[in-house]
Amino acid sequence: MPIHQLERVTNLLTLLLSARRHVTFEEIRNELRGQYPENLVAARAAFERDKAILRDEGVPIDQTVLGGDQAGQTGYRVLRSSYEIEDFGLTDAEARALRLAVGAIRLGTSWSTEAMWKVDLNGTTDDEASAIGVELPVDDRLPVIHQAIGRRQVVVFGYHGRERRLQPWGLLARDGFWYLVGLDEGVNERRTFRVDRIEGRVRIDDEATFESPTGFAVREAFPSDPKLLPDGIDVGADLALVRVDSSDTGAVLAQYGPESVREQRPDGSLVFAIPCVNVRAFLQWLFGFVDRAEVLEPALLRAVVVRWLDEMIGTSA
Amino acid sequence: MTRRGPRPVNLRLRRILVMLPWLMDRGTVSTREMADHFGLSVDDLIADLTLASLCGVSEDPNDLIDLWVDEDEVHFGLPKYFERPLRLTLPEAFSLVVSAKAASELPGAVADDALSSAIAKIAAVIGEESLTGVDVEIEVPASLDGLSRAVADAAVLSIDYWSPTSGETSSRRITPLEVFADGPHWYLRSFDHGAVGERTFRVDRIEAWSPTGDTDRRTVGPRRPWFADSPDATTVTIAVEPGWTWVLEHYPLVSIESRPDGWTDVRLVVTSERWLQRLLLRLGTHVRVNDPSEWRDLAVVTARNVRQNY
Repeated sequence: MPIHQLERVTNLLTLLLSARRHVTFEEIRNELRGQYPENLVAARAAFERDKAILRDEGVPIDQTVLGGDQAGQTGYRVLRSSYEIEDFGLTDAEARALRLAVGAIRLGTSWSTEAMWKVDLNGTTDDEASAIGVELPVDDRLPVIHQAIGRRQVVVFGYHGRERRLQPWGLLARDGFWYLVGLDEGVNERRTFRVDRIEGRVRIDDEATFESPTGFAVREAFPSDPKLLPDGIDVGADLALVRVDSSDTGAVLAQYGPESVREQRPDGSLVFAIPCVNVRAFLQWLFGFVDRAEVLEPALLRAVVVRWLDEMIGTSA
Repeated sequence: MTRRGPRPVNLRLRRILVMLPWLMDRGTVSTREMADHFGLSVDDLIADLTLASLCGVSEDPNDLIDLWVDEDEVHFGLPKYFERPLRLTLPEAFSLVVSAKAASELPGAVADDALSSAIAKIAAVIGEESLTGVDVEIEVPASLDGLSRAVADAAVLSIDYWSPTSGETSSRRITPLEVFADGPHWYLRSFDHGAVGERTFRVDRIEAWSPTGDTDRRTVGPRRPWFADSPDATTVTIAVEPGWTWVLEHYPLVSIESRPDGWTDVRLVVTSERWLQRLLLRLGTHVRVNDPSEWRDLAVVTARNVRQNY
């Protein structure tokens, strides 16, 4: 019966961790006798697959071309100092706080749970659960981008059909999306990218490093209200006056505060001043009220709304 | 009943490499406790440990990983390999930083001095630069601290809740179960005593709330899919024009499928006609309702109605 690949990979790792010097494929095959196929080509392919599993799991396999009587052969070893996790020295209170944090922030993957198993080896699972939870989106490319930001390395990726070379300055999770902000070397200007819209993998250019601007704060890099992001549609004003029925004013007050009220009407409706720099985002907000809100000014924005509705009506007429 | 496929080798290896030092630290532990801690069934745990006990640098029993399962307990003997876990992988380090930074934005017990010092210790090991390049912005409503305490205290609340469908505010008696953020909004998952079932309320639509003085401790199960508890929910199928699916990014969808002609077929749960009207207005001429048939003209009817304002 052939040996299970998991058993062979685990044996390979014990061997590489125990080795006092770099060992060659032939030596590994000899030590793990009968575990790799007899056929040399098949054995080599199986060994490459095993190494790939170990590397994908983060095992730091050190490899070097040997000299002496093994000249030209590649030797492999895993240094215990590179393999083993450092001692974080967390107190019980700190470990508990981290467990609560990991329980509260839900990334939709097992990454943080697996991290806690390592960081908090003595931890238990019977802690109280957090009463608060935050769902954060996750993307497989985030860890690589995060590493590149820390190391000040240029990243290369596809976006809207074009390849971008970006000096990544910061990652921001906001309103259910991850944003990457940095200097787009193609246009030599700061740009913001939605990570979930990046096409394909993110590659790090090991040769290219950079300096981030001092004092850069990613959450101040672009406005949190999408209605404040220019979209190229000019309606002649940055604020719209919107009349909202009395039934729905509470929602607007909660979002924009009483300082946004410009007028109170006898029927109980209120006129609010709402950002409309981004007309598309403004329309998305406006239509949330269906027929219980009306754009009063600017006239150009009112015309945009009327045209939008007329096109809808005309479509099926 | 569906049969599960074999567990991937990499996932089993990952577990083994962290389970062995954990077990070494304890010496003897029940299979149930260990399986629960690592999110495995007892059968899978025993399978992995049995396999691990056959591993080592040679087939000599003295070289094998020294552990054995006896009845309902796992025993660890002499440490030979894997005395410490593998260092954090990139995704693990990233998720830890993100969790800690995000939690530090939250009120109450989650974000305290212990979390700050834990973050500092993590950063000291994995690199200070890991903290500076990533940020999580969470807008915390003023009521969050009080609502999360009500959850922890199992306090029954009286709330005034504004419904965007009716435009009216109604009073409800609820037991809050969990307060959570998803996308741009905060929600209060609750047991609604009037509806005799679970309901989820958007926190910014709760106009007023106060404790009734009663307590009601309930077992909180996993969160159900959006609108699973809504009595009037209907599944609607729409077709969206190329370039317009971004409008749907904040909506919970049942399915989304691209068609050869570039349009996208989307199925989503609709809780009321007005809810669908909002979506159709936002998509304008770039959407068609396919099913149910009685809503195929809803976009035009809605647009005519709104147009009367102008």
